[in-house]
Amino acid sequence: MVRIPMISGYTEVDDPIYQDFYMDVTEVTVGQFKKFLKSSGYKPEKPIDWAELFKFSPTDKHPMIRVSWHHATAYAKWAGKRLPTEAEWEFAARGGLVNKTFPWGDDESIAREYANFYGTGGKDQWDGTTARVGSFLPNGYGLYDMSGNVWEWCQDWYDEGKEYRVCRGGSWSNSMLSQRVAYRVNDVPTAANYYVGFRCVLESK
Amino acid sequence: MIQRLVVVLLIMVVVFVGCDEKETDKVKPKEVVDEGPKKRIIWEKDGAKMVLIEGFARTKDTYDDFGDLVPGKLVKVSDPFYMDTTEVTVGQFKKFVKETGYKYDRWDDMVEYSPTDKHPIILVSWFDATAYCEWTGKRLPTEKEWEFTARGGLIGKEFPWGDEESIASEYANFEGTEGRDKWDKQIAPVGSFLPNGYGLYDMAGNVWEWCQDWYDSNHDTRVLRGGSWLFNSNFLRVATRNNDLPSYSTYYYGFRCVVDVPENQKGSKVKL
Repeated sequence: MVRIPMISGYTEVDDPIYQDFYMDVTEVTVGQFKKFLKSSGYKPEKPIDWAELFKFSPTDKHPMIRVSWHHATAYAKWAGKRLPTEAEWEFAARGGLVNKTFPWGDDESIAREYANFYGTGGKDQWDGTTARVGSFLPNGYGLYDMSGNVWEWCQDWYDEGKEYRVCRGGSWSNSMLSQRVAYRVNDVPTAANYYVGFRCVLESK
Repeated sequence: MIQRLVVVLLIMVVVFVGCDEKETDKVKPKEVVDEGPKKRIIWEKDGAKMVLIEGFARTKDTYDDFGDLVPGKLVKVSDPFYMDTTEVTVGQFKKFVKETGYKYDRWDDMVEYSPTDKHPIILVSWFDATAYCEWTGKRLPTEKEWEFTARGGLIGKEFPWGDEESIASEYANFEGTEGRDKWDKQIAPVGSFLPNGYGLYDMAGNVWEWCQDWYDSNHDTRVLRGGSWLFNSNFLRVATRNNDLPSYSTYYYGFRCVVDVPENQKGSKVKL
């Protein structure tokens, strides 16, 4: 984890951030989630289809996918952490930069040094699967894959009707547009797709 | 005197040397190893090359709840049996007819499509096929046996060689020409292509092969498997089923035989 410092940052989200927090440097991996399952006895309502999962995240070092918001929350709790709020996520993704489109700045042409998204090029050799976490350059806060690889569950409700939870960051299957640091998507908390994963945060005392 | 001594000495040498050899034989008897039924045989009656099918299959690899690999297990699918490595040939069927006087009068038509003794016999009904089998002391394969052997030890694959349709012409004579498949609208001599994992030739393509079973609960048609020279690659799939009246015969129906391992050859258990 790295410590994300509290400075008056600019986010497009309303909730302000009041204090420093720690964030996982990478998305939670398959290996970490397996460890969680083995040692916690947590039983997903529907057993995880590993054969399908391995098609998109083939090793322990790839991001865990096909996890619902509930699974992600359970993991975070087991680890003594929690999911980031949307504001925390976006603040951390900006990596200390102000008013830039992507975690690395505005330059689209260097996107593939930082992110696994649709297609291949540069560092992005993955077409059709996730990349091993940390395969690209980190942002200004030392966080990897805040853009691309897998969408990341956040704590918050997306809507006032409280039906959907927020996802941020874009994924291996999405275009450049979705890698924007302010881009918001959502899904029902029970959804467990092959392009959604998560990472955790910890409040600093 | 000296002569007698020499003779005695010689006799003593012979006796003692002889004794030594006998001692060695007693201490180390020869070991007899029972290796079980032979993997490859030639069936005397029709000269058919046959391979031993051990009747074991490996189930698919799966994962447990924690994502750890659970490797497939070896399960017994059937008792061991031998299978003809190729479809029954014109030459073999000729021998059958000659020795038994069995009534078969399609030679003129047949020779147009299966011109040599090494081509598969065609224009044979299910009854003709069964009669040949009886003569040899063998039988037609069941549908289950046919599909199991066609898979050649592979699990969950479409064709006898795997999933790649693009390499079909290395293994099968079907519609058109390409690769090894030089026969267009013609039958190929048996064994012209690559065999599958069990050493069986032409399980896909060339001629459809009669099986023992009824096709369905109507009990009016018998099963045919394998696709043929006339059909497209879709029919080469191991799971594709065809059927026809047992009295019917045509240019693209043939057969091969199987036989259960004779009791006296079963031998020791199979090593897993």
